Amino acid sequence: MEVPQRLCRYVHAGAAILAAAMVSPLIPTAHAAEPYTEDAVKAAYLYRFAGYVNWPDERSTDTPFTIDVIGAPGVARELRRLLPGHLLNNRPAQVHEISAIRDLGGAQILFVGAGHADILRSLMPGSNLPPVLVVTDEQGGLSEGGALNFLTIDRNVRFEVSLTTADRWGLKISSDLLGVAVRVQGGRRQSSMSREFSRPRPRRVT
Amino acid sequence: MSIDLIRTSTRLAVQTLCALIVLAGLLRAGIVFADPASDELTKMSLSDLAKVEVTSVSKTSEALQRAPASIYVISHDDIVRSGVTSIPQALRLAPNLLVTQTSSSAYVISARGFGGNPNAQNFSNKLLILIDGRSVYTPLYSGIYANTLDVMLEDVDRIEVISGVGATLWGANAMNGVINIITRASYLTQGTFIDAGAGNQEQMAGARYGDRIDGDTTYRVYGFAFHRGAMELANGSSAEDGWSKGQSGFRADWFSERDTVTVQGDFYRGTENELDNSDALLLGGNIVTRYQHHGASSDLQVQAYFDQNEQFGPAGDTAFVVHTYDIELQQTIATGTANRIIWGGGERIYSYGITNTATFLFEPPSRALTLGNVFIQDTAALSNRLDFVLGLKLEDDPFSGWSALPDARLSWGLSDRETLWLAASRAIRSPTPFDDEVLEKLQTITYLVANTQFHPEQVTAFEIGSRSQASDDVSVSITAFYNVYDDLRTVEPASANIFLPLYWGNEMRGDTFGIDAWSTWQLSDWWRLSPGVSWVRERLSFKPGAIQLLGVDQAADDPSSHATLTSSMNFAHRTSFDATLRYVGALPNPELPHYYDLDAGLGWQPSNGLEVSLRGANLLHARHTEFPAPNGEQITRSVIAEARLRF
Repeated sequence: MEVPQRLCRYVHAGAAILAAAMVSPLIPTAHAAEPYTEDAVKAAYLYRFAGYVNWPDERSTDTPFTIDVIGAPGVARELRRLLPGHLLNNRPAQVHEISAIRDLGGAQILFVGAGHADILRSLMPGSNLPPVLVVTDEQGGLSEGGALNFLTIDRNVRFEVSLTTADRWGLKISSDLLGVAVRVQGGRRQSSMSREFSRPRPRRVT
Repeated sequence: MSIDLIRTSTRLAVQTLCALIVLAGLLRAGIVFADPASDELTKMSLSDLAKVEVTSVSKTSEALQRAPASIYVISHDDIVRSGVTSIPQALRLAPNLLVTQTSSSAYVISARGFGGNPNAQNFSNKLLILIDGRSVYTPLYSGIYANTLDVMLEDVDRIEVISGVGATLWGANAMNGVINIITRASYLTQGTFIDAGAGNQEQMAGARYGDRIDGDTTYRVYGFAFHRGAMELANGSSAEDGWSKGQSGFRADWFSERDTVTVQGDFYRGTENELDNSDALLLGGNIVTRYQHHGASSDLQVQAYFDQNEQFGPAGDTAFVVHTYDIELQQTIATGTANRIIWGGGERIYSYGITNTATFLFEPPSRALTLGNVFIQDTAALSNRLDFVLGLKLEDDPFSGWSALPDARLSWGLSDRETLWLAASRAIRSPTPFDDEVLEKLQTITYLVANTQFHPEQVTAFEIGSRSQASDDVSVSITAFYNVYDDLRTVEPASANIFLPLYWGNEMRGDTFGIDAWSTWQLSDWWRLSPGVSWVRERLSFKPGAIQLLGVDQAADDPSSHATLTSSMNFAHRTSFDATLRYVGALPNPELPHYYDLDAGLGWQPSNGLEVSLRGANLLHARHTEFPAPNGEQITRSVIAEARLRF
């Protein structure tokens, strides 16, 4: 039959070239300004955020600094690749993938992947939980309970901040972090928008 | 399907897949693909991270993981990468929609069947389309004028496509699906964006500028214009239906700690060439204002809009003006941690005027229709993994009065990677002036009269669906549905003995069942494959005693299946290649053979802020027909080169 033969030929050619493709990563690469994956950049942000946030109950340096991840296997994978060997706030860092809020075990940062922010309904500040920096990843994440929310604008991963939520958890967020944010909700009014985006303008008289 | 068809389909699918593998392999082996070490990222400051460019092959479009409905999200990236230049083309990216192009400016959009049958004056009329909360289906016959759907694609955040009933929350017309086009808040579209493109079928240019007024207030203004060329008639001559449109608009957002105010508007004007006739004219505009308050345990939203749409056919043809005034209020209340109640209501006034022709008349030619609704829906978290949604909408339409549109859904998170959901719901397609008030004449003989007794078309839908993240790299969504329809529109003779005049009746019923399924395979950091398939079986019959003037095919001329395979690849030197192969099954009556076609685009980003792309649509054939003549023209192959600049 003609069809199976042609299929075979295509499959063979495809397989050969796929094999070549598999081997090609072994070829040394030069890549200065090549893009990173969104997951890798988000993982790097989560790693970096720790340095700009003050937890009220910073405990001894013996307990590990924990980032819990719900609904974002890609970001969790990047964090697993990235965290070993690094200290976060002078503590060994670890990442846990959890499946529900009830599994939240004293983590400093909780990252909730896109489409999962509704589970935050069962998480209220002060509900006998240690303070946690909740980071969401969807439009409207701040109103669902995120203190920080990722936004992808053009090809950059940016974030917005809810100082109201951070305050409720007793978290202090450094002004350096606010300066990079696209938008800051709540808190001091003069910092309510990104400095980076704003033009020099006369200070508003209040 | 015949053996031949299976053979051809398999061969084409395998050939395409192999071609993609070959291309990927060559590019990967030859050009040297980038795989940057993420360790470099950890050394960057926050402001450096904010400037890092990311590849867009990612799985961010899996929003609404736990939503108990068949939702496909077309992300901003999907739109930009695919290089589509219009909303109907973008909607082709959703596997749960069937988009059929019939002329240069006209498309038939349907979900789960019922794409209509123009020979029986039955049009796709069971979908609701919203642009930022503004309903854009026409009240005159519940269909969609695709020439009014344009938005600045650069500013679109996402398009949510819900196949199935969405009546309780969205109401009128959300019978077989809801399409929600959502644009970005203006603080996310700051700076200047310019794009221009030219190709054999389309020339276009657009610009947007966004800035801030003060710390809390941002805005954007935009404008674009395009010309889309004529398609061809069956005999190969030009259909002379090219069209041009210019549109401008704005959006301003004001944020405070708990309140958001948005004002946005669009204004457009277009002309459409008509074969052997004068041009048709299209005019319109809208203003939408929205106030949102985020309270500690409740959210409030009030939205009001005004929309004007005017379509003037060529001289002597029908012309109409529709003014829409709408106000809606919605409150979300979280009671404890277990319940979330949404309730609200709205009132819409359609005021229209129609210039009748001698043979096609709306009686009365102008009037105002009011459509009111109240609704309540509770989402109860029965446990950490089990959500129960119960809702009811009461809708008051001008022709049939109050209707109850109930909805019950259960969402069960089997694990954090797998959700199973069930739904039972009811929706209607309310009567329109086209059902109740139209008079049609053949010279002086009246052959169709108005039927003020026309009932709403009804559906009761049962759905079961599963959404799962099978592994880090594979996600699958499958929904099976069983819809029971009643009071479907038919054309009826005056009586068993007297033929004329005809009238619109509700003498058909039936059921449909089928499957919507799609998947995403992240084959590597740089390659994603997304297959999707939609299958529907329609079993329609006349009610006992019906005269059965036209067959059951008058309800719809739908393919039993359609499918897409989308491949998205990133290569070195900031190049990307995206392709979508689509298959549409044969149409039964009037007949049209099944067909395949391919859209593909190559993108390159030579520097930050500049993107150039080359895109081809309908590449497999120089011309093909998506709907039988004379209602469908020959759609020609098109290629367009485009440049986008951001600063």
